Amino acid sequence: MAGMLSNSVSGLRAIQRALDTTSHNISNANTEGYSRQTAVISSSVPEFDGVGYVGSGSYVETVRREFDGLVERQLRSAISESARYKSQQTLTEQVNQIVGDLDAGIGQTMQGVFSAAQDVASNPSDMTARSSYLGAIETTVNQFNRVDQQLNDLQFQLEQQGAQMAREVDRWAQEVAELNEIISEAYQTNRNALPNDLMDRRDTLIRNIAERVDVKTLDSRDGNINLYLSSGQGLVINDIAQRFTAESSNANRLTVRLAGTDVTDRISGGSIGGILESQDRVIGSLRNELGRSAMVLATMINRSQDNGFKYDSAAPGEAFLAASTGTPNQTGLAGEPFEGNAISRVGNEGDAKVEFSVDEAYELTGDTYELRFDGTNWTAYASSSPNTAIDISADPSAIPGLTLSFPSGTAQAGDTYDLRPGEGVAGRLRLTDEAREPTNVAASAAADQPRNNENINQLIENGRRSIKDIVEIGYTNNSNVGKSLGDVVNGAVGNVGTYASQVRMRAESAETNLTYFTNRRESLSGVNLDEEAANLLKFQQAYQALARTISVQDRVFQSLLGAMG
Amino acid sequence: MRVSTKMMFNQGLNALQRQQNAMAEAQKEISSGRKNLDPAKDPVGYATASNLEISNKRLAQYERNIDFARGKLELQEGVLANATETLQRVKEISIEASNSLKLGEAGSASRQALRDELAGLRESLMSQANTRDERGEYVFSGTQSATAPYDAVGAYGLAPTAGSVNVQVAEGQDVEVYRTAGGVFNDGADSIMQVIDQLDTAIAAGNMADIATAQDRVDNVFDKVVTARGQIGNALSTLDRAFEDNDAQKYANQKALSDLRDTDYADAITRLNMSMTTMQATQQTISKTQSLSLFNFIG
Repeated sequence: MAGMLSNSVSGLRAIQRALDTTSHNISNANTEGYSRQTAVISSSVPEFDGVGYVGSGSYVETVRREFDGLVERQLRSAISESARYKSQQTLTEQVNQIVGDLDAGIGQTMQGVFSAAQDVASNPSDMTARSSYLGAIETTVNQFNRVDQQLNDLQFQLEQQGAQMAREVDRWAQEVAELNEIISEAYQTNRNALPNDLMDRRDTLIRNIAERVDVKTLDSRDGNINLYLSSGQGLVINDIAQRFTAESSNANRLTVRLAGTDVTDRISGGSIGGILESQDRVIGSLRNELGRSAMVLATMINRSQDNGFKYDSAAPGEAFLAASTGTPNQTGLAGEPFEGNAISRVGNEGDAKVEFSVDEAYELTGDTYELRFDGTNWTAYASSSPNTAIDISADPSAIPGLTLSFPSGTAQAGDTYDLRPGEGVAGRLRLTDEAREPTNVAASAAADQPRNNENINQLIENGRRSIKDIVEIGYTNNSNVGKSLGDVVNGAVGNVGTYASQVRMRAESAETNLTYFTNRRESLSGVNLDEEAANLLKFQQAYQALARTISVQDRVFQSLLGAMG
Repeated sequence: MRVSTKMMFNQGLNALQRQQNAMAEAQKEISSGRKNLDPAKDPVGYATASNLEISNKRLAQYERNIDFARGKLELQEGVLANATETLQRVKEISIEASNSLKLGEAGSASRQALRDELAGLRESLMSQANTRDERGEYVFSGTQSATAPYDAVGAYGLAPTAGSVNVQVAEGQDVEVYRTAGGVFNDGADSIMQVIDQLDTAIAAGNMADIATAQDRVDNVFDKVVTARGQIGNALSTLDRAFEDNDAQKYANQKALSDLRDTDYADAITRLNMSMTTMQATQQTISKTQSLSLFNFIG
């Protein structure tokens, strides 16, 4: 109803709401994810009183949340990207700490073995030089063990982190589903009266999820926001959230599941995406390369021992290094090859055992392989050329350097196995008992010649040559210039550095992006205290004016009453 | 563009953090004397530094080898110098004996004196050929360091498989450090001691032809000893040259390493000053702008 009193009162009520909103803004100025709210005051429907339309005051139509879906989407995407590169950056820095020391890195320590061998070559009958040589080998073995262990620990730590992050995502998704239910109910009741703070909370949760995993959203315009992984699987649909978990599989890798399905290969953004990429690209590949280096070094030294004679003796030298924790010895010598098995992926239906034996460590390429069984044939795909099929059923030795065997069990179509020849070897490398005695160093190439240094000279030469050019009794392969053992190790460390450098650049640019979009969001939705202060003044004045209006109306009424005696 | 209060705080905070980082980095560089050679920041520089370190280690190893080889070669040089003089005297004795016989001096007394001296010279040569180094190993035994080259009666005692020992002194450069006595003190299968025995027998018997034969054989060994000395001399020159080359290489490596790794103090200190100044300015700016608020002026 129109009229001075009711108009004023309606105005007062509206102003009060506005003041409430302003104070709400001020108290939430520092709240994470808060979008400032504006009380939208509209004028009430005017009344027709026969002469014309007379206004009937004002009311709060709605409390509007200052929010832009597009800005929010861009911000989320920037959050995912930045989190992914940051997590990779942290990881590569940790790996660098482990292997990248210029003075005491694994490359330098290995070089120390060949340096000590030089001392033996100059002074083949000096027991001190021989002891130093054995000491240098022991130091290298210890370092191989330690680095592998540290990388393994790092992998374990990653898996723990990943599992923790997945638990968080699961919890948040749960909460998003609950909020969806509440908000969609409110939507059905009144589209204009939505619980702004709950919607803020939901957006914050979605942003948190995006930091862990990249997600796409779909606003279904009925109050629900649905979440999907970037490859399309649904995480939250209306008020149902699927279980999101991550655990360590028996292949020593983090595996991520959505509603029980393995989605590890489909996640590429967020911190979890960063972890998934790094565990193979950085840690797995480095461990494999270190293992390969360990096998090549062991083969080199053991074969040198085998070709030579002990000090002043007609007895041939014996192996110094082995890569096993029990019998039989794995030394790389004929009849004692390095061995291992390929790992079955969780979810394989068959139970086949797949084993490998290294025929020639010098021919290993440093790749890891994926083995797939299609029902009849086994095919392998190398990590460096994932689209080239290697037919294993036709030739079990098709992978350079090793031979596969399938001793027991049956595989089912669709089974996949991971073959990582070098992983773990560096950790298992140990000295044999013969490597404790200086007279066992087979420096001599002939029997009973205590000062003969030809055999150890050959070892030193081998260390310098390209692995494929190593000349030893029984093995000659004159292919073109390739990498020497030192190059392989330094190369593996260098690769980590190059990757780290790429990641760092991307992290920096993602960070800049993130800052930009955060500022855009803040610009739109952030609270400006000065602005709120000005609003306070504005509403305060209006309130005072309206209060004055009411008192005027009261006097008018009093006058009227007074006039009626 | 609308600016929120939180944004202003964050900007100020980020600027402060950046300056603090820059300051901390510069400080670390100055106090440690080394640039932060991080494989992530500079993979190429890191790899180069790594290779230079390895190269330097190898050069240091060569230096040790050169020292060792020099010692052994100089020892052999000294022994062979003495052996040369000894052999010279043996030659003179054989000529004297031969002259004495030609002059028809009947008395074997003077020849006896020669024979006595010859016996002494034979002993000297025996001990020279069987020289041992400070570790008790035979210097002229090649790879068979524990076996004496000549046994008690002067016969050659090394196996035919005994060979020489080479040591690496520079990239791709070997030097022969130990040689077998057979190539220095033998004439054919007979040792110089056995040749001197033959000479002695010939002088005692007064057989001029045999003396002449023995003299030739002594000459053969003399030539071998001189040749060996020449080879050792060459080897020592090679060592000198190798040493200089290695040294030059080492110097070049050090310089390159230093450029890569060591702090440029002028640069680091300038950066430190700059970041300190900027930090002060940022701090003051923040405190001034944060104190501006409309709330200060309302009732």
